[in-house]
Amino acid sequence: MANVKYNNFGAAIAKNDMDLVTIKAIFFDPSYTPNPDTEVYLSDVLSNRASGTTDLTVSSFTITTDNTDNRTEFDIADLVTGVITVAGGTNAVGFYIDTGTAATSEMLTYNELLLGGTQTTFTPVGGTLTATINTNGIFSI
Amino acid sequence: MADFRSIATTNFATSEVSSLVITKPAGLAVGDLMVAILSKSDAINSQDSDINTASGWTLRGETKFNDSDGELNIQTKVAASGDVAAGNFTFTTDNPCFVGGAIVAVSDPASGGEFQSIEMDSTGSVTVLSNTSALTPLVANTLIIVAIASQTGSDTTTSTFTSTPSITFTERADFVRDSVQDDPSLAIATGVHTGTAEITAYGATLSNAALTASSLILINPQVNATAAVSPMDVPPAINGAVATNDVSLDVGHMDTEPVVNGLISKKTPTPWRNPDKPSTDWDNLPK
Repeated sequence: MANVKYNNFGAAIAKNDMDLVTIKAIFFDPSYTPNPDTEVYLSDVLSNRASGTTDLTVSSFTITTDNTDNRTEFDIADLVTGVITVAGGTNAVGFYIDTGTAATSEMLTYNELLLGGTQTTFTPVGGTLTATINTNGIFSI
Repeated sequence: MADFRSIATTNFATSEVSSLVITKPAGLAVGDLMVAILSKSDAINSQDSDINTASGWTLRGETKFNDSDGELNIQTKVAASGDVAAGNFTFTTDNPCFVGGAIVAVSDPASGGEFQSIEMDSTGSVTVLSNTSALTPLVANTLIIVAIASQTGSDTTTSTFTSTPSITFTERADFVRDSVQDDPSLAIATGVHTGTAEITAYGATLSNAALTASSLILINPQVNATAAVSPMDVPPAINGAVATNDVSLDVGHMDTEPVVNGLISKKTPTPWRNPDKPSTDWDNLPK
């Protein structure tokens, strides 16, 4: 699986003030294959949330202009869960604009979880899951 | 990594009793997982006794064997400060029986998810015990505990613990009470499953043919995971605009030679307008 931009991404970015909205992260079950055409809201993907996880509110959301790569980057702080046991593991994280209602919370992107550059299933057991954010952020346009 | 810390045992009672006291495993620390492995034997024709679940402990599995004269019972508890301060632990039965058991202390188990799974089995009289199982560790380095209770007319000891896939087991306890009903025995071994393959079989070798009840227990090690989030680069599609010049149109000049049709002239007789026309009336006179 590769990173995926939900087709609603552009509309969500365009009509929201990204500095002010609440962005959350959802860890996906490894069996999940995103469908960017039909999946628009959190409610469309909720059944694929990795068992044992809860969504995290991202912090330190920043928007920076990268004049070297000629793009705008959206960065956040590393994601760190509490003590969890994810029996089936997780291999991807999705980001969405949280409205408090799954049916109106718009999906943005599906990002792989990597180990050594390869998408990998991680299985924390009675421990934490730390997802380190890339220097280029979670997405850029 | 979850690891075997210590074990404390109490052999089967020499007379039928309703309680069992097991001393605190050596070195028990707060957060350790305590696994109580208990067994009993009833006297012939006595009422079947049951091992009660102790207060604060969680029953993980129990199975009867030898026509319910025997029972293997597994309970767990995460050690709190009060447990570490305690000198021993007491378990009870609903009726007097020959009861014995052990407490295995496991260090560094997964916090909040210590106990992973258990399988309970019982057999008829066997010498080589081989149970099929279907337990799969969540992660590598899962601690495996095998407990085998046996009853027969002869003292039975247990050795050569095995599994598929192969795990190196260390026997932690093996005791038998001679000269009580069915000479009950209990053997316990631990090992670490370094992989995550399903455990499809486990067993051991008994010194005598005996009726057995056995248990395969998986204890989760604590695993913290660290992943890197792959960044999503969304290239914007910039479409060229279709431009229209905003200019004043120069209306094309149509240079067309006009066709000029000549007028057909008709000479109009010039009326006589001589004001000096003679007013004389002329008479038409005969020629």
